[in-house]
Amino acid sequence: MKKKTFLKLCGWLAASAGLVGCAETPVTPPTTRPETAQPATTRPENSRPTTTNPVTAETVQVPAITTQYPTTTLPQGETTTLPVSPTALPTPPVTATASPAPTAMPTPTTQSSFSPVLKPVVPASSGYYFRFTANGRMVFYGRALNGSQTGTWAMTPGNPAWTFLTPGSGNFTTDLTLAALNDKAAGTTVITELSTGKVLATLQNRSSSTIFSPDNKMIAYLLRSAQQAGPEQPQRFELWMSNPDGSQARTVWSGLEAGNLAWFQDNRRLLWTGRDSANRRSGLWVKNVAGGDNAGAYTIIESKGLTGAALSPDGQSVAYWVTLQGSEFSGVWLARSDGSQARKLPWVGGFRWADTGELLYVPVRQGRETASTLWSFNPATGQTSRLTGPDKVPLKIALDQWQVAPGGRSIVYRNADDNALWQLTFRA
Amino acid sequence: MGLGLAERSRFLIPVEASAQTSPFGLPFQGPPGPDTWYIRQWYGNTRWAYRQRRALYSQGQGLHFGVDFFAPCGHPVVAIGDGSVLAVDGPYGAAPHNVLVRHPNGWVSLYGHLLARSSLRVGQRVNQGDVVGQSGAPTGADCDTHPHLHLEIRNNSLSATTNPVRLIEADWYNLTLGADNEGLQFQLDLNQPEIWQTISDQPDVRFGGALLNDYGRTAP
Repeated sequence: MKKKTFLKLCGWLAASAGLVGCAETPVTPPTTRPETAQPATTRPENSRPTTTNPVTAETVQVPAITTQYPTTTLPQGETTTLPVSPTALPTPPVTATASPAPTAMPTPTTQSSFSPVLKPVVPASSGYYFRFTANGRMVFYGRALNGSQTGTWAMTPGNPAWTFLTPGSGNFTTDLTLAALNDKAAGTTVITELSTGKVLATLQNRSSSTIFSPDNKMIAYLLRSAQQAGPEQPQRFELWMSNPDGSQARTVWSGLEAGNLAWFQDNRRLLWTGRDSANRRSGLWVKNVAGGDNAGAYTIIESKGLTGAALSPDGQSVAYWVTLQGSEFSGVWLARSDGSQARKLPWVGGFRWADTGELLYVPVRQGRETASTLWSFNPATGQTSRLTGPDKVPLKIALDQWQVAPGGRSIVYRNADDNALWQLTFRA
Repeated sequence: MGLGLAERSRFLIPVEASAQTSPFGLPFQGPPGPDTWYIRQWYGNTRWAYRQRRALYSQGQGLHFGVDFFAPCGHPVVAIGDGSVLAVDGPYGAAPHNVLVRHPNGWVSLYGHLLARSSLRVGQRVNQGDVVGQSGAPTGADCDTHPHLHLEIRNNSLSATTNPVRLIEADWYNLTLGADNEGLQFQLDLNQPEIWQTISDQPDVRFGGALLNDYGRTAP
């Protein structure tokens, strides 16, 4: 690459990613660090383990940053690998008032020789509600590049071409055949065939977030009651399901403070968090919604303060938060989806499932760490591994907005420094 | 912190505070964690605020005019800066109990949803880090439903609030622990998806003013 172009791009990247400088030095692959795995505990530890910071003891590596961003000065499609010198990392102090509680920082088991790669995906102040389809396309809401059209778009990271899907916003089937588009003004959700624009149903559901079963044959939503005791009282919900054309609509549960609704992959069960109507049982609920099953919903985990539940892609496991329930119980938990083998995990932080079966997570930062670390947890083995860290990429996620791309090799996240979406590839 | 569209926000700037951008500290002494405290709702154009724009937040232009810190009932709350107690259980909302502290730089901090009436007296001096009360819940008795501290920073006349994120030095994104919910995401104006989508780009709120988030097309 010409040096002038390199310097221009270097400056753009520095401004965009919060990097402090660029140097034309060779990329140095990280060293392999075989270390002993720290198995996950099956019950909360009484004593806090020593925090391990894998950053300060290591040689700072030089990350590779690649861009194909359409608004850069590079010609379209040109890929450039730039060596960038990261900021010198401060040593975390022993105590800091604004830092999170020390949590068990898992010891990395493996360290790939792959150098993480950062690429800009969607520019600042765009790319809302982004998520991936099964074939790796990313769907999001935003304004067109070089235009005024707003709407939901599909694109493939690395390819600057965007495909316009619809002016509205909502949920989509993973094959992008159907959309459940919210119309807040009308208080409806419109089930639409994307290819033809044909409206299958208009649900009078106060524009509740409506999700499709994996086989696209059913829909479900949590309807917040219009008759609430008060905004700070427990909120009442009804769980509804129907066919996508609105037929066979029925209520399958009612209760309080419901959220995190998800379909199992078998298309027969729904999972959500909430409390029963009597406000006695609180936790993680499951209902078999297959035809002929008249059994009621049941709790697979009962706990106060349970929130943020996420089913694994194979439906075999569920990860969830328990908060404000004392040090013994508060934290991130993992259980089988029948509620068995519940265990508190030895870390605290945002998490997402990958279709590889791993639970990827970003632990809360310790002390004066200025960037985050991405880790992987293997539910089958209990092993954790660090995928990248502040010494490799300046990962700063805003608003907990990040998604794992199909294949489990990269994430897309909203960068706190420039409010744009970036892709972080951490495996070859 | 994300880049915002500064031209969309008109910030209140007390004269004494203009030279000091982050004059305050956090309202808790210990570190955040899932068993201690963490941020549950940002200031401004949150999804929860949009839902409550005609009810709970109708007098606050439809926006959430403070930051909510989830904490178990009884967790000590501390002053975010030096000052003197302006009111204890005054008519400033955030039931069942509140405390207001006037600071020398012109701002007034409000600590709401406290568990019990504070033992502080009006006019009493407090220093940053002094306990002003105990965190509680809006309903008072039900500490299982939304137990939290509601922190506001108001102007000198108490007629408006500003974004605490601008005035408190903290690693803000880290204080949510990554435990997502609708109070931690912002409501989207589908016609203007660029505005008020970061924790720093949020407008000041003037009590009694017109709704700022009564969007025609919006999501989610």
